[in-house]
Amino acid sequence: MPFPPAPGSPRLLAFLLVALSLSGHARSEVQLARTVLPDALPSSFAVGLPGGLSFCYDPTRGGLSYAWKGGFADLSSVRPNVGKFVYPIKLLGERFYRESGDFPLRRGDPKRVPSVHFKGYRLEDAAIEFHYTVDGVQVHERIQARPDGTGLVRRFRFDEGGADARWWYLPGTAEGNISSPTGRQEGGGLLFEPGSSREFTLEITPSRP
Amino acid sequence: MRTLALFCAGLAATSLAPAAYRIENVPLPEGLGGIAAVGFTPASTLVVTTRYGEIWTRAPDGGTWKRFATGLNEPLGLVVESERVMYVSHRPELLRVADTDGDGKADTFTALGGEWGLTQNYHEFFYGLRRDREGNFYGAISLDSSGEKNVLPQSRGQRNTAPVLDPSFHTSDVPWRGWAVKITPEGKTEHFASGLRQPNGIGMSPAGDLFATDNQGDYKPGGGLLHLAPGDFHGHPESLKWAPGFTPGSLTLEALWQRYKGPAIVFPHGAMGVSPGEPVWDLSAGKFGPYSGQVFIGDYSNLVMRAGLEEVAGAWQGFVFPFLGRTELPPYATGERLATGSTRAAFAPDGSLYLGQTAGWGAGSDGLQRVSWDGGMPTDVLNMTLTDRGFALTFTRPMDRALLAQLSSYKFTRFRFYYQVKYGSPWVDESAVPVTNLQVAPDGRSVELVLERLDPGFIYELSLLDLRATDGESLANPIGYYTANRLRNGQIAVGDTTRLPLPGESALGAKESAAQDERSRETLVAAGEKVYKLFCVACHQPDGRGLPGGAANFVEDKTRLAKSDTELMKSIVDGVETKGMPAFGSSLTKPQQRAVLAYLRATFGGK
Repeated sequence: MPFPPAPGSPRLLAFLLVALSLSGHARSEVQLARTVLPDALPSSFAVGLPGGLSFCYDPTRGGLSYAWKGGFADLSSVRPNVGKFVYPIKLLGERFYRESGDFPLRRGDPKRVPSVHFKGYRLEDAAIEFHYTVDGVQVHERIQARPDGTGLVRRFRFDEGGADARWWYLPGTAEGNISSPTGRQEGGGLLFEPGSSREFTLEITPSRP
Repeated sequence: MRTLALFCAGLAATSLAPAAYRIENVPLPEGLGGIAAVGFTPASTLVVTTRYGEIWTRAPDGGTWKRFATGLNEPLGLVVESERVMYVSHRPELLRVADTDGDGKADTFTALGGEWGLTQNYHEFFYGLRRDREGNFYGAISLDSSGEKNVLPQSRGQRNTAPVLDPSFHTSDVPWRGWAVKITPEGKTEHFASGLRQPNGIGMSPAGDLFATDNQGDYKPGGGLLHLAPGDFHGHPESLKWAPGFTPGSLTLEALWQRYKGPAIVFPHGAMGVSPGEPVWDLSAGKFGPYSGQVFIGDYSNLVMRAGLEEVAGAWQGFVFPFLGRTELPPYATGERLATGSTRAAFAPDGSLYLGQTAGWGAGSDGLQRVSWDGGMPTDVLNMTLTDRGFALTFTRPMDRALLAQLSSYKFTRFRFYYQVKYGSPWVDESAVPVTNLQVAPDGRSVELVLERLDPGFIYELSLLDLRATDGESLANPIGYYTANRLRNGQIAVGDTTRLPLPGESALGAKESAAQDERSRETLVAAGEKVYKLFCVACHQPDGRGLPGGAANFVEDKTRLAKSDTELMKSIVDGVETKGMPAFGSSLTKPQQRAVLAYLRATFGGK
């Protein structure tokens, strides 16, 4: 079957509607696609937030891998029936942040790559919360746009066992800015001392406004 | 081709049959296409998933469609728990999908398991999904296809592209591809059966036995309905590279042939479709017509099959007939023509059968159809079971007794397959098998047939083009197939059928082939006899009658060898402590274990 559908096909309208909805226009809720993204492991998340910010979340490598601003994505290369060759989706915007390397969140020892298990996610009107364990500690990572739309806010919450240890965030060779009101810069990343709070927040923004 | 021609001739001969089944197209909203799974909530809400990653629901009154979830990665498996909770398997994992705030849209997606490798290969499907009474989920992980040329370096799980045997078109490049999996409610994943290729349909019998359909292909002589059990090997060697203790270069085709658990029911390629989908059991208690308890399987071609399973000497096997499809409506169906691509199926609470269709994979169409029974009775073979000397047939309507009593009304042909790396297998050792005797039931609804030869390891084609009902009506589906993996006395095929014809050598004639098989069987059985005389004879005695009050008496107690190979092999390997049977797992090699089992079957198995 040809794809896109042939002119005059009843499927063409449906295709155009889907294509339009995925292009980033009038995005009023979180958009999501588990698929093949550039520079990411298979079945990563492409997440589009209201306001025009999008990001790749790779649960196998290490979570948020990069973010872009503009439209969402062109998914036509991964739709069923395009043929026997799968190419990564096209990002409809400009990347403004990127991480690399092993899983960035470390508990206690910053040099030890943790054992991480993906547990799922929860959708909200304008945010998505990922669930996973790091060395057995349940982590809830909520990602939404900054109020001014210039970057992303990532809030990490921990269940039992998460508050009594030092937490490190080591984003590898990050491109863009990463900051936190509670963490301090150390060892190429951010360090969060143990305390009564079971959560901390990161913000990521472009290097150039 | 010959079979198809006969089948069409049979259709042309029928014209007055009453309608019994109606096919309707289910209207779909714009944007809903590529049905990937079908299910129903306890409140009869229709639920479908799509290959575009969505879940849709339709109210029980047939009204509004609503999009329940988006963003999934080809969710081919679905178990519906309620209006607000569903389980979906897609490429990367099994998810519990929940609408926690009751707004009609899923908001929470909980990962329950996903311990298998992933690349971007277009053919990396996860098939399923079924749940047992204990809450465990079952699915199957497909192999990769070598048709994917755009190989990206990223993968989830370590990549291993070294072939296990001769390179095949379908491969297992990352962990556990080609395995069936069980995922417990706690999220523990168990990879329990191997050798799968593209098992595009998982089904569970009312008793909880697990089945899958798999496609013909490399190392797959024929498609069919497989019975999945722990420890099974279903033919494709690529999956074995992930088995614990696997040593590269340690396997041979002949050794794997001995482990190979073939389909419970073979679907001969072409005659019975090309690519079978999801098997579903008719549990409607008569709402769907006369076939209660039987299995319906949609095929990617224009076909829905009907199958009947029976457990013979510990193994599942049975028959398959067409039900709907081909190029024309069967005489007992009205309404729309069956669409192609019907690989997803589910029975609705009202007893109707929903067929989900997806385009792609070379053909097919997107759509959803509903098949319902209108009370009419097709003239059909209702059931076909194996007897000690042949087959028993029952019919949906009284048949013409004179025709039923004629030996010439029944034409059997049998054949079997080679096991090879090449795609599929020719039909080999094909020969006609005369019916030598029969007994017709007084009501004209059943007949028992005695065949001149009945051997395990063959597929028996049955053709009933000359039979008529008492009102003169022909059978709607006069040609079907029975897979005789084993006989009722437990006898199985032990001959070597992996050998291909030599250049210039046509398929072996039945007589020569039978002689060759006897030599092959004799070789294995002779090896087993040596083992028996060394290790077993002291307790089981030379005549197999065993020491009184001690070892098993294979001659007088027929239940002993009526057990499955798995059970008997377990007794040989692990022993039976309560009976004083020693464990031979460490003293006999695996070939010796298989040989002695073959000797037991051949010598005491009821011959």
